Amino acid sequence: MRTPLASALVGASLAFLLAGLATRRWEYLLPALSPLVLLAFGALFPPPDPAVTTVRSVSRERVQVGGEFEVRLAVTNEGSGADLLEVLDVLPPELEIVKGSNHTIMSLTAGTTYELAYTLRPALKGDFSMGPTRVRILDSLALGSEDTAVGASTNVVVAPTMESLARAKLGPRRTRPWFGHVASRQIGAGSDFWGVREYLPGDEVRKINWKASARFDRLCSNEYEGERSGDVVIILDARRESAVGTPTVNAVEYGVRAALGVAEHVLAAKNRVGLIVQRNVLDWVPPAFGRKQLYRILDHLVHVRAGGEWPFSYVAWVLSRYFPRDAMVVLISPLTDRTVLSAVMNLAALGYDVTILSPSPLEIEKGMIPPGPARDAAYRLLRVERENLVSQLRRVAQVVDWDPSTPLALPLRRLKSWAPPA
Amino acid sequence: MGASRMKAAGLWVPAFVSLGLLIGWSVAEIAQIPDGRAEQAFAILVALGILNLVLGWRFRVNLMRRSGLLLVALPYFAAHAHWLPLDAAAAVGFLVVALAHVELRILAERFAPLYLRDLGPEDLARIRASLMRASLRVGAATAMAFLLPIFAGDLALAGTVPVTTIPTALLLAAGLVAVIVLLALLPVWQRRRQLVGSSWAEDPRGKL
Repeated sequence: MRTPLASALVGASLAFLLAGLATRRWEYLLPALSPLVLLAFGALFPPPDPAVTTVRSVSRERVQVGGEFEVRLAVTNEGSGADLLEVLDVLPPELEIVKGSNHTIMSLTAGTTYELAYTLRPALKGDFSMGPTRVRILDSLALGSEDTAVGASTNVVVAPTMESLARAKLGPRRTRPWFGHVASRQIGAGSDFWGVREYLPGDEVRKINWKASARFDRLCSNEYEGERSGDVVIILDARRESAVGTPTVNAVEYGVRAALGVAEHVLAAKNRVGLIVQRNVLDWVPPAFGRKQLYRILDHLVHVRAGGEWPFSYVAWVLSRYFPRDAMVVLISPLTDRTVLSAVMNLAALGYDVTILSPSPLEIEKGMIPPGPARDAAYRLLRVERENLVSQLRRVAQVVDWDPSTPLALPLRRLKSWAPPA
Repeated sequence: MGASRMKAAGLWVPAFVSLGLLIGWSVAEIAQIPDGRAEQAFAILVALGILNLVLGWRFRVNLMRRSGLLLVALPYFAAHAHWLPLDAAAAVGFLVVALAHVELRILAERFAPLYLRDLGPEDLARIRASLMRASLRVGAATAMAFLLPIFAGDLALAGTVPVTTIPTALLLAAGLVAVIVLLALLPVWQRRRQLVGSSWAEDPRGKL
């Protein structure tokens, strides 16, 4: 491919030639030769066609946001020797280079291999594709180049960071017949003492209450409160209007982290967890138990990008149609609009036990604006408006107003057992 | 890293020196124009050129850099066309300095960012080898671009090739036009040849 410089040289040469003819002075013809000499010199060493193969390998195919991984790109020249070979491994902008480079210029003789190594750190969760590699053979005089794209793409899945919810008090109040960690307020298999009754044939010996048996002069057995599991449905509000902040620091990203943390915490307590995501499409993961379900939820959360304008009424329809009625609903939303109030009231009226985790968009925005009296006044006004909404929501649901600069476990530990008003 | 930064900065030195030389030369020639108004007009043009170069450099606008170079170089030839006598060797020298500046700037743009990165000794050696080859070629090409026209002029003046008659001058001009057209069309022909009957036609995956 001819570069603009080659065209400029041809133009300059022609201009001097015409000037020489117009003025009938031979002195103008001589400068016309210099660009021609450069062009001729460039034509002596034209850039060969790139016959290059690349093989890319990554140290990890799944990585967490902020975690580093290494990429190695082996470039082999299978054609004739290239004096100036420019290699650029095309990367998505979300992957930040922390060591080395994805771009180089080098000489590569025929048949030799060069390994380009660099370390990446993803700034955002998602499914990213690296490559293909752009290879360009340059002319030393910048008069021409030959370029091509080689090699296959490599996919890397970047998972969101998980909020640690150790000792957080979050779990379903209503239980189902499966064993779990939730006190069911019914007699069953568990560890918490419930009462004493007369011994029945078949009772385990270790359940016999020897002190009571001695007092009543007949065998008595202990009864325990059954520990069962329940269902939790996480609703993640990832609508366009909820993405308050920058692409890396916004309420939706914090919501994703919270959703993953809640899912992990609730699944670890042997409950079933389901997920509904309001984004460009309204998609959901039906409730299930275990580690596999966590990975299913993680795969869904990895692809969450803010978008769409699904109203909460659609979410309520999906919830009533595809999820159990006695499930606990954890709504993760920055509460940027007031429609959430009627939606939560409707859910509570339908009998759902609703908990709202709200990453505060005010704190995110406050961190983005330089301090000043105008910012402080605006913050106070918006704070009052938000507190008003939160206090209205607290009549029908538990609300956790989360400042994303602090760990989510802190407000969740302060969560008290709550009974909805009659 | 400090040494690499020095190297990156050092790559720009020849480009700036050649540009400084070009501007100084142009200003010196303009200063010799006997007509005060023409001198003033050309000085404004050169000043505009310098401004364009600076702004083009600052904001990375190629068009401004190109027009700046043109505005710096054009007054030299314009002044010699009307007000000053034209020395062929000096004119070729001026043009070659301009061409060398462009080549050196491109070289610096290609290689300086590479030295700013955290590179291992093997990478540095490869880059240095490429830089050396490219510098040698640029040096050889600019030397030839200066010497060949001078030799051609000498030959013409010595009478080896008579250029004093109109038919021979026209013949030479026609020859030059043919060479330029050939050079201009060479890449197009080359590409067409590749498209017809080459391995690329059979295996389109090899190309963009």
